[in-house]
Amino acid sequence: MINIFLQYSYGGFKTFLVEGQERNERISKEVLLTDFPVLPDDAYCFFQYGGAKIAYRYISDGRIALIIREIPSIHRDSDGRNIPCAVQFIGDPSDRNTLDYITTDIANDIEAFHNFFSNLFSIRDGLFIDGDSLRSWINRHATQYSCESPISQIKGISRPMYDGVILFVPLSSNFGIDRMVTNIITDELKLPIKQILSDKCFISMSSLYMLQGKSILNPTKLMPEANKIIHHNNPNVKRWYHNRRRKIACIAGIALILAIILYIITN
Amino acid sequence: MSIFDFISTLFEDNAQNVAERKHKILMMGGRRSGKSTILSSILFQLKDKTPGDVCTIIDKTDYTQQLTRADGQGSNIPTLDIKRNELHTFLENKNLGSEFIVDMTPTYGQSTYILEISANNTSVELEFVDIPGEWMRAGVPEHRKLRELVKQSDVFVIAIDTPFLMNTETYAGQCINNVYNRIDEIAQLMSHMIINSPSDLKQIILCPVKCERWIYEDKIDNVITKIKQAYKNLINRWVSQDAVSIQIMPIHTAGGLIFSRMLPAKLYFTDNCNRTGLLCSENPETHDLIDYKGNLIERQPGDSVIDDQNYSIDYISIPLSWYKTNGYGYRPQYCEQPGLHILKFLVEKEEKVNSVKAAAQRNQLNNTNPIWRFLTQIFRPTFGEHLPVWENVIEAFDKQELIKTDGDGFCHINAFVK
Repeated sequence: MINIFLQYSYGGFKTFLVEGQERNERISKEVLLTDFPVLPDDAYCFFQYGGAKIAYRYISDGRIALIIREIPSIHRDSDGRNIPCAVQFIGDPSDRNTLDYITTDIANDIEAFHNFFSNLFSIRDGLFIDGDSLRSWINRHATQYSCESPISQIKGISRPMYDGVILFVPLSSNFGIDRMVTNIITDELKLPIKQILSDKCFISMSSLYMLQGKSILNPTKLMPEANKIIHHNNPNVKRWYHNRRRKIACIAGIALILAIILYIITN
Repeated sequence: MSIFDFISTLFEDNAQNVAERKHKILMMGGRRSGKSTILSSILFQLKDKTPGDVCTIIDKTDYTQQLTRADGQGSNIPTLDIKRNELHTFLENKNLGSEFIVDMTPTYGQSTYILEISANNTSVELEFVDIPGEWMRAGVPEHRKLRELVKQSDVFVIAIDTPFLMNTETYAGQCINNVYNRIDEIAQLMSHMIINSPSDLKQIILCPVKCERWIYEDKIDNVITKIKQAYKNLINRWVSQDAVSIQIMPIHTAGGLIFSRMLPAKLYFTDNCNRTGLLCSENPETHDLIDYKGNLIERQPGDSVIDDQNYSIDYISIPLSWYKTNGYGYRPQYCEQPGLHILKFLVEKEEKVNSVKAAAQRNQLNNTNPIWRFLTQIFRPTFGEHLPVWENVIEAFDKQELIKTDGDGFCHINAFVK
């Protein structure tokens, strides 16, 4: 059974558990501190921090979480912009196939998912969701994805893997390029940085958007970030290395002078 | 200690120095009270208004976190960079005298913004942490994280929504102000602030925003009195501590935006198929419905109007704040002041911490043998090596009269509030 957790701004941003049973389900079951650990930290952190558009990963309790953030909701601010919401689908290892197919469909056409998801809500006399439609949509993915031509690398996520991150779509195009950015994001979102970088299982949001709807893809173009070298751009770190070099040179110089003096004295 | 250990300590010490020159500034306040708006103003003003000959400010924040579709269109996610200009563009489209609400996209998750301030050969990093107002609620999982942030922070900027603060003539108004500005929660959270030593200075800035109306009506003193009363518990808890500085700094984030009145939040539905409704209020004099942009809604057969439950916090209905333009357009004022005060405070803190460390190191060195002292002085400079640099920065600020300390509601709180 795949559990659905929703973060939605209704009376402020709150995290709700969606049952997904009724046609017009009132969203009122808020996840509170007393309910923990209904969501482990490595899943809940995706509601606490930005930085990710999609994350598909094994979490610490052995389950698998698929997180999609920055989904435009039906609520708008006074400037006419959609207020974003986020959803997490969390399933047991036996739900792996379903979650693979859901991820494939979402990653292949993000706008279609946005439209589908935001149209599930209504706000007459409270916040409601068409839970029935959402559950049917999940169940339809039990055996296959529905998009016609999935992005080859995204299709490849169904390779056998029993731990770690399967797919990560960061919002920042500097992820994997800038060390500070990469460290901050992986630290906040509790992502295994070594595994992500070595498995090359990430693609930036802007790159993914470029690939939407294209069937023939060059894998090197799909993940340009992974081929670049992470470098230091932190002035403090640069200064630290500079000072260290200076001190080593200084010590070496003094050691040389002492050696010469010692040589002269002994001879 | 072997020579190898000694070399190691030299490097460790240097790395430690880099880490220690990082200061955390935590933005606090209720939902949509203006935390992110204040923060974007501070960052922008610090970057652009600080004299380059005094110190250099580099924004190290990653601003690439936004959605860009295949058609090249930007996203709807308002980063802090976008927030800086949103009031400007929003005000440009408003007619003089028209009424509307200002309810920009709320902050979604914790965000961190990093500024590096350098002068000569030394630098400090300021880490501004912006959090959603909902994290203040005691029962939510994020509250634990927030308590940790309070323990780690040096500066606390508390955003105060002035219209809600001033609309407290009735008991209902007081309840609304308390839940909207999260006054009790902030006082409770701040009780977790830790002062490790006399040199571990802390700064609390109470920052009323949306206060232009009271400025122009020359009633800013009323705002200050209300702040002191409303935040009495917070002030009295910390005012007697020498290491804590409490200041009030009213800033005008828009300038041309005047609070008009508060009206209950309603939703207008054209028919039963309408899922989203239209945010509006009823004009109490004419009973007309006005949508959030200030347009009159023409009623139709089959339509309906209900209370908007989205505008309720802890089961208390929060009214909509309606604003008018006064013709001044976008004219922010004093937005740089919190940033400059923070900078001055952190420089003073740096100076104090360095002085204490330098004194401790001198004492330690005096008890060691002369050869060791000589080697240490060559390889490991005292903590106070950068003191003159920061002293010069403060002196330059004072000389150029950049920092406002009084007038227009600016004040230090030094006494208990009765």
